[in-house]
Amino acid sequence: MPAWSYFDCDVMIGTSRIPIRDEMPDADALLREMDRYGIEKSLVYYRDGANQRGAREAEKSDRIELCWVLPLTLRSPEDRLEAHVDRMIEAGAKAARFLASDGPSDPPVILKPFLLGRVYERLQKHRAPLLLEGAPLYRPEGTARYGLEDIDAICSSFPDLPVILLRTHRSLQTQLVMMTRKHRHLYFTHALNTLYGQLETVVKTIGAGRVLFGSQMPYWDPSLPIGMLNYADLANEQKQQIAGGNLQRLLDQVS
Amino acid sequence: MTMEKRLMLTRRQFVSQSITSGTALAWARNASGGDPPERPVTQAIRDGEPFDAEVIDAHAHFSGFLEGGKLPPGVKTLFRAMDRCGINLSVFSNSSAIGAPDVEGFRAGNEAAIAAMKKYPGRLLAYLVFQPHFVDASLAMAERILEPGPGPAGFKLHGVAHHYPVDGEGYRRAYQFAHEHKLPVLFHVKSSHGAETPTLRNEPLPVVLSRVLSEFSGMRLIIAHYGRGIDDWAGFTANHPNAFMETAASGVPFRVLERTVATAGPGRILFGSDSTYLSPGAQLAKIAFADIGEEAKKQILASNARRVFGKSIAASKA
Repeated sequence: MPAWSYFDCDVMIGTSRIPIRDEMPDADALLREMDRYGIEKSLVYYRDGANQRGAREAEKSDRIELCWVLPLTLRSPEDRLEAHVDRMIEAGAKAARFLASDGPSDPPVILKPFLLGRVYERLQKHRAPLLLEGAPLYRPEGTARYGLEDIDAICSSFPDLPVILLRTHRSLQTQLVMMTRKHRHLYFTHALNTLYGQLETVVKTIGAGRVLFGSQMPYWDPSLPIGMLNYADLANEQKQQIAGGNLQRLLDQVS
Repeated sequence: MTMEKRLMLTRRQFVSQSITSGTALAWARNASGGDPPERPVTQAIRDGEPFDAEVIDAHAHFSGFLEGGKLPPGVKTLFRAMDRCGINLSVFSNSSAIGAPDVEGFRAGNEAAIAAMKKYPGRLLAYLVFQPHFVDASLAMAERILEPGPGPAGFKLHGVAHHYPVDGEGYRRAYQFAHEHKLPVLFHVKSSHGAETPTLRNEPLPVVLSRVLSEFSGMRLIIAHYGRGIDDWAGFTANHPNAFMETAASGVPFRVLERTVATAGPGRILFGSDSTYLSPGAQLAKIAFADIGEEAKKQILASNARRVFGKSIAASKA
């Protein structure tokens, strides 16, 4: 058995009216996949932001932790989106992510602190990690309109808020490393650091404490980041940090 | 080979780390006599140890550039990558021949590839880069394939880097040569950022390559990187007995290998890593974890490649 165990920070379960290929409808389906890939635990959100259904699935196994989906859309300037953070904490969830709606009338996803500052502040108060899709940082995607400068602004304004960027493209590696050096609570997953030796270079530069394992099942194949880490030229302790130790530490700090 | 590899590289670690597993116990029972059973490839990947099963990488590169006619420094990196994962043989092309801006650089890159495979027989097998903008030089270089003794296996075409129509005259000369001599051709038709090899009349690539394969039926066409449009190319491969898919890709959709095997069949897929550009461990994991059965994995990891490159592999070891 390897000396490191995986805790996946980026998994979706659930069904919706519009099926997706290879979806994992419930906790049982997810646990089967986790066993296949040797993943010990998963931080899971439920499709379409159905947090209550997600909570029911998470209760089925202590290998599943719920990631709460926060709404992004302000319907009026008086909307109090931060109240959803309170609900999340009451429900026992320890991490949050946003749900981007992409209907024709939905506004673009804008992460700027002047719109969402109170949400960030409330998450920071609980030290609850915020997970953000990394794809829009590389290339505009759907309604998402944010870039590295927005991440920089969030981390500068809320320095104790753990921010986890998911599936960031390998071509942004240098910029990410620079930002990670600047912000002590910025993290990213290594799913797309697929260039030869790239993961080792990142660890050499910023240490193993800022890199997490996130598969983005059931959209992407988790075997690539697992194979990359298992064969990386890193110490077992560093592999353990990346595979699951860093995520566990972040979740343990949530109050 | 299998036993020797385990004894040299993994036995102590394997037994100490997994002595309680059924596989390790079975191995221990056999240790005093006969060949130990191979670990399933899934177990090797979980342990982060070299595969026991044979692995032939159908898509590798040197990553370095030529220096004074010496071998590119990248060859040592390639060996490190191979040894870490247990890749026995890599079929590679020299990246400097792909990117060479002039005929001299192109020739030198290909010559370095031939020199490397002759220096490391049984571990390296070269593709010659066929550059459609340097047709005469490419055809002259191709004659090296026909020389007696160990020689390059076939061609590497990079239609994106060379931005040349897949049905253009330059490439047709490559197809003709490969057809006459029954050679494998690894073709990078599309890149992850969306750029693809053009066609003369803006027809879809699979349509044009279907015509190419019907006309040049002796050529064995290997679509690199699953063609970056996996479902389209799986159907294409199923419809052409001389077509294969190669698996290197920096990110692939969930369960894609299972679907590819279901459509194209396990006998038409070749493992490729794109090492030393990509990390080979990640590429091997795709095969190891796939829900396709051990036999299909072995086909993809080595026996299909033995079928495609068999003559060149035999000559390389002779």
